[in-house]
Amino acid sequence: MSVKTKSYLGFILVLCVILVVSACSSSNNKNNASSAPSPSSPSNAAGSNEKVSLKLWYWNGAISDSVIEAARQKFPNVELNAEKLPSGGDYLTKLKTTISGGGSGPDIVAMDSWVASMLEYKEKFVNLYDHGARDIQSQYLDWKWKMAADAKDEYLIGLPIDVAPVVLYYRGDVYEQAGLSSAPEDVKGQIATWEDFFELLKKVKDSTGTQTMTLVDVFRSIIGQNSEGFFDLEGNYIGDQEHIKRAWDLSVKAYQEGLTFPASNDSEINASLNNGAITSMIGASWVVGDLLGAAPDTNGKWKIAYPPGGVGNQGGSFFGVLKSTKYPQEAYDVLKFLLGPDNQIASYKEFGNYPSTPEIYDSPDMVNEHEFFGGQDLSAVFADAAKDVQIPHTNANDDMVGNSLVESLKLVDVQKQDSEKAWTSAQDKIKRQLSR
Amino acid sequence: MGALFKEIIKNRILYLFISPFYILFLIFSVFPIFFSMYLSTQKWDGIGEMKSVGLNNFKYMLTDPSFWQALVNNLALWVMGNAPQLFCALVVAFVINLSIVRFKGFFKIAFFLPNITAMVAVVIIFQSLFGNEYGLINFVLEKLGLGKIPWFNTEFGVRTIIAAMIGWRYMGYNAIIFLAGLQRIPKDLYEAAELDGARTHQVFWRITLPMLRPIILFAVMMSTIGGFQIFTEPQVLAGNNSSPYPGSDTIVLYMFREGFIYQNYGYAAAVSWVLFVIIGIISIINWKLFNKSDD
Amino acid sequence: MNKFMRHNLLISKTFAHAFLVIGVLLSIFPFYWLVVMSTNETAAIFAVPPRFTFGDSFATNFGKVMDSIDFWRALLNTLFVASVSTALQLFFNSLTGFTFSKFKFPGRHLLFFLMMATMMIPGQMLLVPQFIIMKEIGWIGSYYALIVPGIATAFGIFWIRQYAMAIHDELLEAATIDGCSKFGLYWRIALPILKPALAFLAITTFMGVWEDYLWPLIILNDSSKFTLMLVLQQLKSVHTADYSMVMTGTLLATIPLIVFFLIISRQFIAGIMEGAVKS
Repeated sequence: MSVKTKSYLGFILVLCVILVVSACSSSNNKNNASSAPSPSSPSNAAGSNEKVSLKLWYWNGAISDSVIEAARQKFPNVELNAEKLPSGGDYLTKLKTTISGGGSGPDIVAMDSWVASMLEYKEKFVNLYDHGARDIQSQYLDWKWKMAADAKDEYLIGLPIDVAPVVLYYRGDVYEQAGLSSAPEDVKGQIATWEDFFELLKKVKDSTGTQTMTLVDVFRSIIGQNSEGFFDLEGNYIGDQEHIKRAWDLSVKAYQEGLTFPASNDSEINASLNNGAITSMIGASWVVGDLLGAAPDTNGKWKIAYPPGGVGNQGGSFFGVLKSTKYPQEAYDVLKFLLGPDNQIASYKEFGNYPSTPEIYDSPDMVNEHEFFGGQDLSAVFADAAKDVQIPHTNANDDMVGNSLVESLKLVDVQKQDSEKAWTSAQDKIKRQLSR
Repeated sequence: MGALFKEIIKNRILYLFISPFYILFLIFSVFPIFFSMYLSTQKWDGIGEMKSVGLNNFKYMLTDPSFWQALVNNLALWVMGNAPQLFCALVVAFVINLSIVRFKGFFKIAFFLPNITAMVAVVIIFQSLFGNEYGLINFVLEKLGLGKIPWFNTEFGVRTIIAAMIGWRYMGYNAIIFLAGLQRIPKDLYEAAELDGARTHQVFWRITLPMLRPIILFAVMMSTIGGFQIFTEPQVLAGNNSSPYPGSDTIVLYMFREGFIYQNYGYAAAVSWVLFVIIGIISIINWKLFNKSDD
Repeated sequence: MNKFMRHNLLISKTFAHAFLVIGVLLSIFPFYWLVVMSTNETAAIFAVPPRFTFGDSFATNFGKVMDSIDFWRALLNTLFVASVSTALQLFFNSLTGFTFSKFKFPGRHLLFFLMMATMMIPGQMLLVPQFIIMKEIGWIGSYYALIVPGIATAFGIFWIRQYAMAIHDELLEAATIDGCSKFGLYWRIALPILKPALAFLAITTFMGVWEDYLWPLIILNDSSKFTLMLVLQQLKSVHTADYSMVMTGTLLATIPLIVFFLIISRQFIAGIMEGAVKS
């Protein structure tokens, strides 16, 4: 072995040692830091001068950063580390990996409308009822609150952040062109049922040639209003029954009458919102942001109204506390503050996250006269649409059933498949999946 | 036995040279591999308790039409997306490497750029190019009086889009591989050919191609492995849609959906083992085809 | 060189360049459009037909990106992880690949086969168990979890092995007779010949680390340690996306890769130039 070889092997060896030693030391430090406050029991930790460190995971747009800042002011003894993570499915993947890997990491986590799927693992979360959540329950929309509670309403894994009431977005100018009234109240009066809505769409289509969103979107909107989902309380499959078939048939009818925009990709949908090919759409409150981004050329021309066929909810999130936290009570206190009615206004103003606390709906601060909507006060319609939403019972297989139905339904549109045949094949596929 | 042991001792330095990979493998991969093997016989939602189901996951898979459809899609996408692209890459590399070509550095980065361009931009562009209603290609077709093609509505159309995405992203990448490979061909071979008055295409077939064989094997193997694990392109193309467009559901997408979205982690593990076997078989075939000469 | 040949040369020269230019136009168009989008407002992206010319919103978009995320910090983090990974990979992969390519020792076929097989396992499946291992070692939240498992890769070893096959055995034998050790053969004989292969490996490794998303997402817990791909995702909120801002962020994250490619490709050119100079 030459001298050079030896020196290189030595280098590698040293490198390995450094890696190992520093890895150990860094993890030791971490353990020391986090275990330091543990001798004092959690309950009196808040009372003492010791800093309580809470790590909060959320995504951009879940809650206003100004509210988080306000919480830091309000709780000087709490060191609140708010970490913004990528949103959507990636967030869920990270949260799940963290929980199944042993749950070290955050104390407080944001959860999207999939919160109900976490109820199955409620023992991984702190029961917020144990920390005083009963006292504030009356402030929140009841249906929203119950989404994060177990069937007996004894275990609560999340406090509501916002709700996403579903409304009708429509082009006032186009409706007028079709000889219809564009006033939200009038529109609401004309579309009590989906059949009524299709009548109205037909008039719009006949005189302006414009359409509503795709067949699949209509289907999703209709089942979003159902009080029953794909499974009953015992977990039996009911997705082949009347309430789903009705939605299927209604949306196929809209498609057959040429009221729906052909199935396409995101860019084309955005383009057709902007160029006026789509002039009506059912969407949750957050669609406002999408519209602003996608259809700037239609500024001032849109309006919103109470949706056809009744109310629904699509989205809205929660904050929960992981069982692995050392400070459940402090975490709850922080959440109670973050999600208090007054702070919900801030997030509404910043992102359009509609509050889950009805008491502030009439507050003058809530008035939201939006330029993009010709100065219409959006809050009034949202408040109307946020009440009395019915949330169906959820099941771990909901995604599978929903995707299978939508996949088949799409074939009716793109491959001109027979609707009944598509329905049967979707049901066969779902039952096969459930047979496992 | 003693001779073998002696041979091993004699070559101990060589084992040291190759040891890093195997040490890392032992630490970071052995447990996950056995874990997922075990998982493939379980029913597991990712957080709760596991339940043993024997070989049911495999039985279900082999009788699931969606699985077979995904396999067909995968094969189609692999052939459409890789065969033409690899050939073009070879030609591009050969041309860039010609002594008459100038601005080699520029061409290299320009052809490599698609591989660096972020997928968000790529998807918006391909959606805009192939869009059914407002797509650029359909716009041109209409101007020419040929009528629109509903790209996103047919299996063949969707596969064409994805094959175009793959080809566009990896052609330059493979060209760079081949370019590096061309560097290892001794220059005197070319000089000798030039003296003999060989034409460019003769040089390509008689010298370049045979000498490049190990590098071609590398590119084909990697395209096979990568092509069968294709995931990103169909998924990002589908965008906000919950499921991929018809004809573009691949095995890894299927696995990912079953595992990470429908919470059947055990089933997903079983799918990944079947995929492992499929890739293994095709890789061995490739190896035999392209590795005749040496080793 | 006679007149006919010169004429012929000119034709093939023009033909070759025309071929390449067409290819280049197709290749760089989406990148060009990325730049266009980052200089325009979101409105221009969804306009029909889309705008293909540069706008004047780049400064605004740039400002928005800088306000929304800690770009420079993430850039430094990513540069650090990518550079360290690349340096380690170049060394370990080339040493292992060269060994497989040029030396005979018992078990090498089996070991090589095993290594190749690891590439065929779909990585997504190993995510959770690998996370558990990292937790046991205590590397959650640490860059070690991003760097160490990747310092020797089947891809890199396989690549170097294929490339190194061209090295003549006589060359190595001669050097051995001159008293060169096995490591010396690698260091003094093989490495210079492997330069173009190393250049390619450096680019792909650097780029792979740069664009890695799922693993860093799961491993890193402290936002001050986030890599570029993670912070770029923060530009998108749940439902709304300011596309031109996202595109600007994406473009900014791509530029260092291009710079790295330009630096490394000099290694490439060096090799090619030697060949070109001869004729």
